[in-house]
Amino acid sequence: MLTAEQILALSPDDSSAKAARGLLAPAKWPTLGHDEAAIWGECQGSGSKPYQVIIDISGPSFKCGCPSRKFPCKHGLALYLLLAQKQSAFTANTQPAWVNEWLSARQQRSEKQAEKKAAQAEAKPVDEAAVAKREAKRLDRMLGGARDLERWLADLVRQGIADLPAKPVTYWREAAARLVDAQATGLAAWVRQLEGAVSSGEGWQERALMQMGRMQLLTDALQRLDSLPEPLRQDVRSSAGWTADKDEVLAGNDRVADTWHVLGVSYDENDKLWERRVWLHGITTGRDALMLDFSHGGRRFDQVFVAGTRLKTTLCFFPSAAPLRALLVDAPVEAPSGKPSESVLTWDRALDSVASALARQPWFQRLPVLLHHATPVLRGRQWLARDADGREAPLRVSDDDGWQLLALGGGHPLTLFGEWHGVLWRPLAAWHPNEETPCWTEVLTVA
Amino acid sequence: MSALASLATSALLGTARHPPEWPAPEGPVGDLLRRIPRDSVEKALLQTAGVIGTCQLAGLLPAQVGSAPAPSESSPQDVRMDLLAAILADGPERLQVEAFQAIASVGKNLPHRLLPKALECGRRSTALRPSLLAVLGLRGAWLAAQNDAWAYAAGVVSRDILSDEVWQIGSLDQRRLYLTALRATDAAQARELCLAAMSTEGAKERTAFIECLATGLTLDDQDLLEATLTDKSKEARQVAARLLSTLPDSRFAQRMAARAALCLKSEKKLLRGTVITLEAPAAYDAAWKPDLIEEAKPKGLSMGERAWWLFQIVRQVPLRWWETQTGMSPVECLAWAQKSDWKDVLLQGWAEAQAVQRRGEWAEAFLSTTLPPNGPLTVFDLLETLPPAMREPHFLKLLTDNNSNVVAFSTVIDRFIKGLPFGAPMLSTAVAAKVIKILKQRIQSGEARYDWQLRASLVELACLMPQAAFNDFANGWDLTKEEAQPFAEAVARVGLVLDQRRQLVS
Repeated sequence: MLTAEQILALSPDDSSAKAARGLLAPAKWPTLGHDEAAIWGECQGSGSKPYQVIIDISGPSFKCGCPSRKFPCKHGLALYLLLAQKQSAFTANTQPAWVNEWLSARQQRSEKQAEKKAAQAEAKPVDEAAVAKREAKRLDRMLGGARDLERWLADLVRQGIADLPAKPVTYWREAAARLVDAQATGLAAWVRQLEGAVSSGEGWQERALMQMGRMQLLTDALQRLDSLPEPLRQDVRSSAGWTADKDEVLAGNDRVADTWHVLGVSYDENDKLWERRVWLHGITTGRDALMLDFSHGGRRFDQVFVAGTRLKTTLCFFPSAAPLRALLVDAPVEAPSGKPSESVLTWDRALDSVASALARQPWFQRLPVLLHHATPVLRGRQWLARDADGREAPLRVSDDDGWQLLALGGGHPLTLFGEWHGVLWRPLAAWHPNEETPCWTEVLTVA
Repeated sequence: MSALASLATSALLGTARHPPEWPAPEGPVGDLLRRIPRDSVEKALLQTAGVIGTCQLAGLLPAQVGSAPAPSESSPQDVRMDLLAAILADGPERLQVEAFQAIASVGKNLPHRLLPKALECGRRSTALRPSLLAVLGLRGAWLAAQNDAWAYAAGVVSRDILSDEVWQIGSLDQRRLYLTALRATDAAQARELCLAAMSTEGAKERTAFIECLATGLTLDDQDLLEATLTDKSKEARQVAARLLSTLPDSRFAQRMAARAALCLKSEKKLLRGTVITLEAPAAYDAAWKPDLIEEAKPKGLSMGERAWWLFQIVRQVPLRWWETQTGMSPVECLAWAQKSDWKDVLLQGWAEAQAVQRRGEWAEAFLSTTLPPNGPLTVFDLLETLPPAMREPHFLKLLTDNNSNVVAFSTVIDRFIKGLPFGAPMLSTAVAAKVIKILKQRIQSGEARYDWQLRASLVELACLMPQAAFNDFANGWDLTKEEAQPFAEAVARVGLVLDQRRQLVS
């Protein structure tokens, strides 16, 4: 069971959350029921037939008969909110046929997919020569892109980068587009980040040069890919934009079965492409994992993850010198909740993991950091997180969220989890000491 | 200068113009840097920056700064957190006030998580502040102190609004609350504080504090108010004059009455008995000036100069004086005014006087008289001068009589609600039942289909319904007619608001 706060965090945008709150009158719902597996209800919409809404609690997954393209839609959110607020209104406890059918169809579909996957893995006719040829060709194009990038960087440094802040948007877009054409989407992303560093205000030249230097090291590494050891070779390749194939990853042997704590979920949008990052921490193995998903057009991800919950599942890690990104091997099962584990009280210790990850894989853009003694502070206009030693790291947080954190902390430490972006920390979830349910998660504001 | 900063200077100007100074740190980083070939300066600069940059990222430790923020109270748990969050997010303001009062009535504060949202609501609406300030707690005051936009709530928050500290260091809003509360318990002490403040505080504060004297105003306040008539602030002077005009026995009110008396003429006429007439002053008297009567009329005012002088006198004369002076009741006074050459000035002046003096008989008189259309008074202005509990029969009458569609149904409801202060008593059960019946009839029949605003008005009205009317208002709507369907959403909202109100008191 989720709290109202957690449920609203699943909302694809503010207007859906608001619309869902407007549906909370039980009178709008001729049927309401729930059992251990599912929540269901019929909601009277503007049409004559009510919408049938189902939530599969494991997950959770939503299903609604309304035509909305939002996911989950306001009806799904409202149904879950209603259960959280007014359980007494849920009078039915035997699944009607329409609920049962959907749940079992879902079950069958996931079994079939698993079978199909297994079958594919077993009997895969591979034309090794053709694959090798295709890969060589792709690598060639990427190297071409890398050499272009290297020349571009060298020219910039020779001429001087002073006029970069005055460059039009198209200048950066073209530079990135050239790399996308060369199938080096990773390098293109580095160029976009360089644009961000250039427009980051006072002291930008140091941040820009640091970024350019790291790009130079990446193109260097790409050009001597053959001499690099595995799995560092994979890291270089994927940092440049050639990510390992999912089937390939799943065939790998870095599989970890554990109960995973969902520490935080973050979303970013770039040119209508939504990226979701789900950060997990293994309770027994202590391993950190990142699940990365993309969705084009809207923020629509079928599998829902909620910060603060725990899932029992097996993850398969992408090959890397510092493995972090992972894929689900089987469907996750909800596990009993608990407090975030470990007890890191100072930045000194929290950033140890950052240092050792960067030592093994220097091109990480963001890394998970959990700090158990993080007091939200506001100095001037800057939001900060203060540790037990009185060290304060700047936060990347919206003002609304900053005030929320400050109000919750009130000068006292919280447990904070977030993405470490090199110098800035983007908090994603916060807990009061000794509590299992997060008291705050990052609020996504969609323009 | 750090190694990276030095390299950045070279990159900024271009290696062609400003060759880099190569850093040579000790230890493993230095060993690594020495292995970078320098045959291409640009490439070497980028590689050096890459190595140093990566090491800097890996070795970064945030700085130790200043002292820790002052800790404060622990979080009050409220089982109704979700309810309160929903009310703050999109509830009508009247419901928000009810929620704050419900929290305060059990001696609690707002849960910490809701403080930013609540402070933001209070920033936008000053009317929310009195009830909000009572439930912010120490944490709310601590938080507000860190945001200039929330200064109204910064400083002290004491459960006891009458703590000295509030007066000493509170915000203007808090001090106003303090003074008003003190007036109710110790009017003389409040007057002393106010008197002392007159010589030390700014214009905004002086005006606000003088205004607080309205609570429990007596002739004992006369000297302070008379002295304020010469205050440097025009606003403060006007407030003082207004308050003095509500004290019929004050020297100010009597001076005004004497001026009005000079305008009245009583003649014995054959067959018609004594006839009283009124004539505006013929010339401006310099002695009026200290009592804030201005000689020059404001630009753009459509009345003449003499009318302007008369108007300024009439609005400050106690309404009771007209009754004793002419021997007429308020209703008769109004009828008399209709026949006067100075009819508009009289009605407008009385209307302003009534807005300040709030005499029930005069309001009833105005409401029972057919006033000329487009006059200075609307029925809603008059309603506002009646005590809240006495307004509802007139409200019901307006709804019942409103078949001519002169004003939209929603306008009647909105204007009525707007005039009611927050915390005013709910409608009586009997009136509520009648209002609901009229609304259902109008909406279900489709008569109200073009009254879009009515959908919002219904929700506002839900905040004024007594508990006994909840079921009747939330249920039993027949919206099957196509013209009635646009109201389905609003009726659902009404159900939601009533449900929230029920949960607040349970």
